[in-house]
Amino acid sequence: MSSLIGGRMGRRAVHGSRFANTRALFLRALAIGLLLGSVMLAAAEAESDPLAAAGALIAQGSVQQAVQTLRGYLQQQPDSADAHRLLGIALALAPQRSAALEALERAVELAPDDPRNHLVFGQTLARFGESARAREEFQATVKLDPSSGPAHEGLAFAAALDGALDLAVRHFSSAIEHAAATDRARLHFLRGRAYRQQERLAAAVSDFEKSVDLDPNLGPAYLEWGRILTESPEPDRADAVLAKAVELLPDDFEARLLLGSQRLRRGHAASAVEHLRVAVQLKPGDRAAGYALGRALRAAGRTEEARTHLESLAHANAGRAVSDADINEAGRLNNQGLELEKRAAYAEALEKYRAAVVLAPQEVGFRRNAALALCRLNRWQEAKVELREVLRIAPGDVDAVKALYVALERAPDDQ
Amino acid sequence: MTSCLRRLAVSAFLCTTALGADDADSAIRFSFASVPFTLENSESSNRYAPETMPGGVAMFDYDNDGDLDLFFANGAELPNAQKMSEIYFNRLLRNDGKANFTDVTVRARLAGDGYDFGVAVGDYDNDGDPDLFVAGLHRNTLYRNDGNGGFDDLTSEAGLSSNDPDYGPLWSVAGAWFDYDGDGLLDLFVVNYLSWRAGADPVCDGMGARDYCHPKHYRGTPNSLYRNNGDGTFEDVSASAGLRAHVGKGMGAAVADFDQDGLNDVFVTNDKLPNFLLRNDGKGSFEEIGFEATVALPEHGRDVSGMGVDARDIDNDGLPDIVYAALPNETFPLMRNSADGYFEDIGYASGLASQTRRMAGYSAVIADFDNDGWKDIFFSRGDVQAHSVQPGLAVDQHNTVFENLRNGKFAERTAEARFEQAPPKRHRGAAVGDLNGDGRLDLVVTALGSKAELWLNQSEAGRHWLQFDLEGVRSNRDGIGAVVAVTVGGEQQTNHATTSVGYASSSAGPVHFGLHEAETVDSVEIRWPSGQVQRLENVVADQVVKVREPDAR
Repeated sequence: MSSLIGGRMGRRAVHGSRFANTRALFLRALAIGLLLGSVMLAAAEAESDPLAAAGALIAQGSVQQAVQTLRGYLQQQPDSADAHRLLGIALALAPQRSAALEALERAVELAPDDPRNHLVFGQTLARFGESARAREEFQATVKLDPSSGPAHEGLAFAAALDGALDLAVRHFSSAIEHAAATDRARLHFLRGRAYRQQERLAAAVSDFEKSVDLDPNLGPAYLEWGRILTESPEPDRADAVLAKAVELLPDDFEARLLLGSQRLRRGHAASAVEHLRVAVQLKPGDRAAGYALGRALRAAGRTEEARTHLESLAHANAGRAVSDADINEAGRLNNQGLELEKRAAYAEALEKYRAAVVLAPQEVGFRRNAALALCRLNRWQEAKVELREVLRIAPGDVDAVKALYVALERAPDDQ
Repeated sequence: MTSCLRRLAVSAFLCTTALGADDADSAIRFSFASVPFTLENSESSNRYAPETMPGGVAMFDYDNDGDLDLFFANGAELPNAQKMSEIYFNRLLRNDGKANFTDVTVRARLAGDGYDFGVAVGDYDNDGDPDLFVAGLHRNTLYRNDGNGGFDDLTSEAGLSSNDPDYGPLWSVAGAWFDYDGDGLLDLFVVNYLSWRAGADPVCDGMGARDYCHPKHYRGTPNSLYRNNGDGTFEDVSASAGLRAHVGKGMGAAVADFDQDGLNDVFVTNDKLPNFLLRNDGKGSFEEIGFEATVALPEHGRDVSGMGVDARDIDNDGLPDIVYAALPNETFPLMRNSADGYFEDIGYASGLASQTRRMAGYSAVIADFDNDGWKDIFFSRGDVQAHSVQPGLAVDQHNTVFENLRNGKFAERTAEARFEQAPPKRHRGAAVGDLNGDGRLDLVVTALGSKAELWLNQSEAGRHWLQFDLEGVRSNRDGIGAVVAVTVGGEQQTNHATTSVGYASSSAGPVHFGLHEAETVDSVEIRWPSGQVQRLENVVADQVVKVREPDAR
């Protein structure tokens, strides 16, 4: 614990250059995907006697019962790697981070040649934000079982997180090759996103097509596909794809915004207004949607309505350049906090970070530093609140994920 | 449904390829030479914000010998912002008429003192000699051309102060001369960037190393407008003109009569804030209508890093359109003036957006480089940051020209135009003009820590051209703001006189037109800022036509 908080996270000093980290999407998908993977694996385990009961309990979501069952079993069979593995899965879902990792590490020690142990350990590490160690376990899995689709998927995510998109694509390809039929649509979608990040747009489109061929209800794939087509020289061709995305995801802000903008480009102003109004309702205050709606109203000949709408947008934006001064001041306070931390003056540092958060509440870096200072001060309940807010703003923030699980272990939520 | 969509998608990507790679008809070509000036930006591990922002270049005929000379704004030591060594001098280079340059800085008394960014050329005293405004960090300079090869620093006498009562010392990056109140005198619009003071830069991370901070970490500042009193002094009318109500992070200004009411308006790009369109109401004030005119933001509605800008008619419909550079993943917006008071972002429709997605640019210059009668777009390119912030995105980049395909589309011609003759760099300022008198528009481009680049236009010879060297009488002497329309065989082109072009730069050559195969122009119409309309007929091509505004009242 101390090394976790005092180590790499402690040097998360800086707060944002000009460009946002585009890897957050991958992190978010990683957390969700691997959680599902763990549950599914637990369900599969349930079919093998004598641990079937525990596996079934995990699959049903009765995690605490499963833990009790497995601990009872391990009193009699302390060297059962399978039991330790299942216990690790159950504890991870609890979530009890340290105990889960301990159980899974034990499973690996007991049966180092069983790729399942490395795989589950890797997935759990990834879930807790330990991406470097997770990668090692996925690599061990692939060494033992080159056809492990989930391990390749884990390695693909790890590579994507490192910005090694070529490697990510290779592992996604292996994952697709070895995946169960039910997983292929999702994997094509994920590889398509990696291609898109590489600007290999034709390859991305091909993957999105395959993913919707395999799962015609995969709305996000239509959305990503349509997003690419909007940037083609003949943007009206995106219309059909985005219309399908809206059909499948009628309450998705991005889908409505993209389709509305597309209709506007094609000169279908009335239809554009319809979709953009929904987008504005879904995300009130979003300037991109509001701006597009204003342009659409103007194109639809509703000049006065457009003027009023655009004027209100202008009004809402006035003064932003001045309020940016707050961010500058917040940055100064944040830097002071960092200096205080170097002298282990965590309480004083926390005051600086919190002052920075007040000035710039949407700047995730200041809030993260405040949360980590709370962790160092063992103020776990407060830390959890801050960390959850960090993850609400930046769902893929690895350091916040790691710290949140540590905090949850020290101060579990009331169930 | 899916198979139909698949066919559409494949077709779309074929189109993308064709647009980007078709060079069969490309006529734009340049040859490269370096210019004896090195832009010293004092880059340091401290990542002071000013380090990445110089510097502008001006093309202007300072000695009235008929060719365009060069002036470069240069950096200084940081954080004290002093030119402690000759390497930081601003430089004036005299052209021998064949694009060979001699350094005449010292004789001209133009070395400067502080950390300078931008330059604006304008004959503010209407004496026939072009004067200079130099925009700098916490200190601007007004140089009056004495007509004898020298310049006098008259900043104090003129009343141009950089100290703002509310915002402190201002960081100015560019200026634009134009006559906003129709009195025949050039007034001065100053583009102010953001509040910066030494030692107060936040520490910002870019892919694991300290790098320049996002502009959100700095307070914005309003732009300034100085009214020319006609006696060598200026009055700060920023407040009464309505500018102080609009705080931004200005990077560039383009002056044009966007709404065709006979008054010059100003479009200002802002860094990561909505742009301003300042509509001149003819009563001494400007109304900011960026949102209402749908030009505040690109089509996608997100802030972009608005950089250098140019505004000219790119589709020959008689209306000034707007293009400006931005940074990777933002695309370079191209705003078409739709005549009804609105602008339409045609970045995607024109192909510019998809082709600029991975580009970072500073200067945008609209000019007809291949003399085919359709204006092309040049961008000086290079990132703000010192380190790449995303795999595959280069900090150092080649300059680029986009050829106007005459059908609403633009095609990138980086390699075809031979911009790859020089190594990629972090390019900044750019000025355009005919440096060797061959009727083709050349470019001079600055780059951080590097010698300036001279790009002599070697595009297909034999295409005809025409340039107008304007002399205002009732209007300002430079004719800035005059709109020139030439008609050949029923086809009309429009251009206008402005020196504010690109990032922090100034291009003060004659108003240029490419005529392709036409050896004669049927008619020329010049609308002077005074409101007078002057007509010429049957003007022979391939010459610089000196036009004096009629003195009639």
